Amino acid sequence: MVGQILANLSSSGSKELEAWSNPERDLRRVAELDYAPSLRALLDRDAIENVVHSARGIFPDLNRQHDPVNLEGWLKGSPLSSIQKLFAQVTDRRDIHLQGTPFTGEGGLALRGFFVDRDGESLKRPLIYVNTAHHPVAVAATLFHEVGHLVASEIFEPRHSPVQFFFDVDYASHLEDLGELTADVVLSLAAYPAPLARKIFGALEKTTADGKTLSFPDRLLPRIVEHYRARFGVSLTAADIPAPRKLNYLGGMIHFAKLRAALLAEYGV
Amino acid sequence: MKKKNDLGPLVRHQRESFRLTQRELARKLGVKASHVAYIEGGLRRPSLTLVRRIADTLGLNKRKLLLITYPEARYLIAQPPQTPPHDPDEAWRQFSGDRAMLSEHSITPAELRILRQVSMLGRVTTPRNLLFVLNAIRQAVAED
Repeated sequence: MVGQILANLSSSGSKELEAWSNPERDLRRVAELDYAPSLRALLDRDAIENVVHSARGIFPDLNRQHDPVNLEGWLKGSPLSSIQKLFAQVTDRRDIHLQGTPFTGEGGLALRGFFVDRDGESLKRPLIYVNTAHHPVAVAATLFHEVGHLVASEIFEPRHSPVQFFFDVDYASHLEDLGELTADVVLSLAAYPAPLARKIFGALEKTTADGKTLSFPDRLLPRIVEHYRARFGVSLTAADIPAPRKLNYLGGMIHFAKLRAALLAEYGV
Repeated sequence: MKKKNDLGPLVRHQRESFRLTQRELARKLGVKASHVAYIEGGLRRPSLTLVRRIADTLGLNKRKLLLITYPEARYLIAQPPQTPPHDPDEAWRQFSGDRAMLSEHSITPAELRILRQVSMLGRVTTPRNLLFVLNAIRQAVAED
């Protein structure tokens, strides 16, 4: 899969690749890391339950059924209206600023979104920005990630940095950061609701029953890619996604699948 | 059958300089001797994992070996020409040092302090990104 994408690369996308300063190391780290210890270290079962409870204040069906996001329109060819509904779900239930605009050009596309917490003075409500220049599924994923930051700001101690950025790089570093990991947990629960997660990752759950490390076999990758194609209509072989971005998306797919598998294996979530 | 490349002669030369037989090298790499023979003959392209093992075992530069094996990867791992190494502070220096731009966008000292914190996150690579973030926050503040 990676080889196919590499083979299709063209020099026209070279600017976008600056964000991938060391892609082989980045992908290898995500592929080789055992996610369970990081999850245990930063988020225990109670914390995960709090995260899910809080996130359900916005997405009531999160982790409950196959399509927590109403995705019927997506596969029928109207992804933008689905995105609008998702945005409305967020603004209807939380008093926040939500901005969704395309940000392209140098350094722009590398940015998927960001979250700014309220400071109690000039910014009275949190701000979520989502870069809508990406594929609709990536836009939705970014929204879930940023909502995860909102959730983290509500249930954990405030962070020192005023802005949390979401880039399609360095996913491994998210495993050492409570805010980023919480944000990714919300995204991974949206991407793989419990019934589906058990179907795809259930066998892995059993391997950890005796406390062994969680293995994530390569054979799962085609299933994950197929999952995105079947449920969300996004294909890494699609011609309309530039080749460099396919590699970014692939890194994200592996990261969120491994995180979802770890959630199931560690906490049965 | 894969297209012939320069990987094979390099692996063969390095293996011989280590005085290893194809079978011995194969054992160290965890593959069959025939696979080593195919690689040396330019008839197989090793996986990324195997490229790394070959580099480790034969003391070759991983980056060079990767590029020889997967020339198409050069777009991913090559540094753009004339681009200096990424300096996390560079965007901030450009941004805060551009008096005309600060004046044009009426950036206040308080905003500069916030943006300084943002730049310290190390991933905001251009002054343009800083301006974009600033304008997004300004819009939100104006709505409050």
